[in-house]
Amino acid sequence: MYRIKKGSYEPGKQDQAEELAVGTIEQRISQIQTYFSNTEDLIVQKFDNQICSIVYVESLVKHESLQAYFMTPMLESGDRALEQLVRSTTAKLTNIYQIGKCMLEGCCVLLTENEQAAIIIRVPQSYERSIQEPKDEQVIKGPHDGFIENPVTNLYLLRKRLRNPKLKVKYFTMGKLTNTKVTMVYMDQIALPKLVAEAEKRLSSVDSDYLYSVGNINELLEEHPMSLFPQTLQTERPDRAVSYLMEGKIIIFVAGNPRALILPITFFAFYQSPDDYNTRWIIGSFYRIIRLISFVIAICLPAIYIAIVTYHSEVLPIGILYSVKVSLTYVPLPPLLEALVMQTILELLKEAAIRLPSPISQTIGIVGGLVIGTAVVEAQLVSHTMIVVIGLTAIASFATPINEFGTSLRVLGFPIMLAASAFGFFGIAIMLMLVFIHLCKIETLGIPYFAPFGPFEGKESIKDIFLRLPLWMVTRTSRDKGQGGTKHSLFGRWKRP
Amino acid sequence: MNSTIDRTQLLFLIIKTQIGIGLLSLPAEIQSSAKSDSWISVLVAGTVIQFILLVYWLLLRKFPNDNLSAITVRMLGPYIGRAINAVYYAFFVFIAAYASTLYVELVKNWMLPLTPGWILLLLIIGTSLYLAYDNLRVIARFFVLSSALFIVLIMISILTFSNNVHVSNIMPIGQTGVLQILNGSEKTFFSMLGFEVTLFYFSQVQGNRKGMFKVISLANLFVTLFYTYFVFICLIGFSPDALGHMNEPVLYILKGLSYQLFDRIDLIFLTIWIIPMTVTIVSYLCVAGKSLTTSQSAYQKLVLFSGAAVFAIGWYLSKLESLEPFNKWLEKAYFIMIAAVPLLLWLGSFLTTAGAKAEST
Repeated sequence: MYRIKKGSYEPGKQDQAEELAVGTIEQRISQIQTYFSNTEDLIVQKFDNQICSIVYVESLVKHESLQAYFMTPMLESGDRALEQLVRSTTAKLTNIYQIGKCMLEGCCVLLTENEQAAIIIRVPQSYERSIQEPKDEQVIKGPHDGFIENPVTNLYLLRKRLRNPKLKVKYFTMGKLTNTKVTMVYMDQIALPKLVAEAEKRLSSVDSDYLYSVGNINELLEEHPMSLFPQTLQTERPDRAVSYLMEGKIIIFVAGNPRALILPITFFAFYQSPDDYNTRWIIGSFYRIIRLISFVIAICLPAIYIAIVTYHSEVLPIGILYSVKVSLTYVPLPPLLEALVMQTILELLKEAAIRLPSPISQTIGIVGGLVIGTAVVEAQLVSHTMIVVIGLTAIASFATPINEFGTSLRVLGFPIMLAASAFGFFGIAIMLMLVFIHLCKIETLGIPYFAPFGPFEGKESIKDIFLRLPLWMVTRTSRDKGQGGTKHSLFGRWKRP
Repeated sequence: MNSTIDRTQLLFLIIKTQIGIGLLSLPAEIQSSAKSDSWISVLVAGTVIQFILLVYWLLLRKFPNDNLSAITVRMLGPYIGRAINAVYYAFFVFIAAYASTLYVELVKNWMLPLTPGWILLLLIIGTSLYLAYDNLRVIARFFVLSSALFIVLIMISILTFSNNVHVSNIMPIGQTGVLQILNGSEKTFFSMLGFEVTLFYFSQVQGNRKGMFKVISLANLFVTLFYTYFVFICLIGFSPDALGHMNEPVLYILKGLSYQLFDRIDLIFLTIWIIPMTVTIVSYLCVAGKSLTTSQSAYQKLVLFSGAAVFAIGWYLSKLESLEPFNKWLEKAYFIMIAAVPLLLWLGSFLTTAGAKAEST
C-alpha cells in the first residue's frame, strides 16, 4: 500500500469539544456540513413547514427504513408525529463530535426548532456477503460456514454454537483516523483473567492512526516481531474459533475483515485441523503424524540433500549414491544454487498463479510444473533428484492446515540450506537447534509457544498433539478434570452388556 | 532471578549436562586400565558420584533457597566467598572451553576436516549463548525437549547388536583386579562431570524439598546406566586390542552398519549427538553466570563475557600440541572444587549454626 503525502489533519481535542450552536436550524445544519467537510453525499432534507430538517450521510443510511419509520408518519400526521418522536427518543446529542460519530455509524440526525439537541435516529444500511465456506481453510467433513466482514454476524455464528452466558464480548475503537471497531471475545471464567487483562491492556494501548486489517492488529500485539513463526492464528472457521474459545483463548475481530485472530496460540495448533475431530480417531491420529512429518520434511529435506551430496555422500549406499551422482554429473550448478533456483521458481509460480483467475492459473500450473520442470532437467540445469526433493518439500509445506505457517516453513528452509551447504550435517544440527531454542524462547501473552513440549506438561496434555486420541480418553477442560471420577475402560466407553 | 523450574526439568538439566562429549571416547580410555571390566568401573564411578550428591543434598538442605555462590558468601563472608565464587567461575569457563575444544576436534575429525576450527567454535558458542542468554526456565524447556533425542540415540545403538557380538569378551568378570577397576573409574568420573550443576539449579526448583534427593539420584542412576550400556556394547562389539586403539569407539561401532537406505549410521548418530554436546556447554555457561551474579541483567552481561572467554580459551587450547598436561591439572583441581569444597562447607555449616546458636543463647 503506497502512501501519498498527506495533509496535516489531526483529530484534535478542540474538535471533540465543539457544541452544536444555539440558533436557527440553518446555522446548525451548516455547522454539521462544515464538520463533514461539505461532502456532497451529506443529504439535508427540509420539511415544508420548516419546523424540522433531517441530515444524514446518503451512503450509510438505509432509505427504506428511513422512509417507513420517519418520512411516512411525518408526512401523514406532521407535527404530532414529530412531537411524539422528540418525546420518545432518548438519544439526544449536542456535541458535534459525537453527532458525527453517530452519523458515520449510519444514524440520521433530526433537528427541530424547539429542541436544541440533535435527535439521533438509527437507520443504518448494511450490505453483507452471505455466509460462505472460507476458501483457504476448506474441510472435507465439517461445517461449511465461515466468518464474514461484519462482526455482528460473526458473533451470531459464535453464539449459535456456544449458547452460554459466559461468552463475553468487548468492543474497542482503534485507529484515530479510521475509527475501526474491534471486537474481543472470550469465555469468562474459562479464559485466564491474567491473559484477558494482558490482551486488553495491549489492545487499549495501541496508538495508531489507521487500522485496516487483522494483520495490522496482529503486528501491533505480538511479542516477537522478528520471529518467523506466526504467533497468532487467523481463521475464518467458526467451529475452530469456538473450540479455541472453550480452551480459554481470546478471539479478536476487526470490522471489515472476515478473519478472526486467536491468541495466545501454540505451535501445535497449526497442525490441528477441524477435520481430525470429525473422522475416526485412528485416522485423525494418522493424519496428525503425517503432518508432523511434513514439518520435518518441509524445513530439512533440501538441506539434508545438499549436505549429503556436498559433504557426506558416504551416508548413501553405493546403489543410491550412483544414481544421484549420475544425475549430478552434467549439472554445472552447485547443489545449493540448484536448490535456491528451484525454490525461487516454485515460489514464483505460486505467487503468479495465486491471484490469477482459475483458467489462467491452470495454464500457469501446466507451464510451470510440466514444462519448466522437465525442460530444466533436460537442459541439465538442475538434477532429477533435486526436482524430486524440491517437489516433496513444497508438498510437505502445503500440508500444514494453516497456509500461513507453511509459508513460514519454506522461508525457514533457506537458512538451513545455507548452513547445510557450508557445514554439512553439523550445520543442519546447529540450525535446527537454533530453531528449537527459538521455539522454546517465544511466548505469546506469557504462554510458552512450544507448549506442551517446551515446557513438558505431562502426558495428559499430549493426547491431542501427536495423536488425536478419542474424546473419552481426553479431559478437555479443567472442569472435566475435577469431575473425572469415572475411569473409562481402554476399549471404548460402552461395554457390551 | 526468580525463574523457577520443576522437578522433571531439574532431572533433565542434570542428565543433559552430564552426558556430553566424554562418553564417545570413554570405552577406549578405560580400556587401558580396567580392560574387560570397564563396565564395572563405570558403575563404581556412579556410586562415587552418588556419595558426592549425598553431600550436596545435605548441604543444600541446610540452605534450601540459596545456590552455591550464595552459600559461600553466607558462610565465609563477602570477601572470601566472592573469591571462591570467582574461582568457581573460572573453572566453569575452563571446563566449557575444554569441552568445546574436544567438541571441535571431534567434528573436524569425523565430519568437516577442512573447515577452520575457529568457525566451528564460533558456531557452537554462538548457539550456546543464544540459549544461555535467556532465563533458566527457557533453558530447562529446551533441555527437556532435546532429551527426547536420547530415545533415538538408544534405538540407533540397539542396531549394533546386529554386528558380531562377543559376550565372552567381558568374561571372566572381575579378572583385571580391584586396583585397575578403580583406576578406570577415576577416568570415568571425569567424563561424567556435570552433576555439580545441581549446586546451582537446586535452589530454583519450586515446591518443597521433600523427595528431591530421589530426583538427583534418579538423574545419576540414568546417567550411570546410560554410560554403562554404551561401554558394554563397545566391550562386546570390539576385540580388546582394537578397542584400545580407537579414539571414539562409540562412533566406530556404528560405522560398520549398513542398510539399504543408509550407510554410515555413525554420522547420523554424531549429528544427533551434537545437541547433547552443545547443551553441556550451555549448562556450564549458565552456571558460570550464576556463580557470580544474582540479577538477570548482570547475568546476561556475564554470560556474553563468558562466551567470549570460552571462545578465546578454546582457541588457545586448540593451538596446543597436546591437551594432556592441561587436562591433568584441570581435573585434579576441579575435583577439589566440586567434591572437597562442598564437603567442607557442609561440615562448616555445623560450626556456624552451632556458633550462631551459641551467640543467641
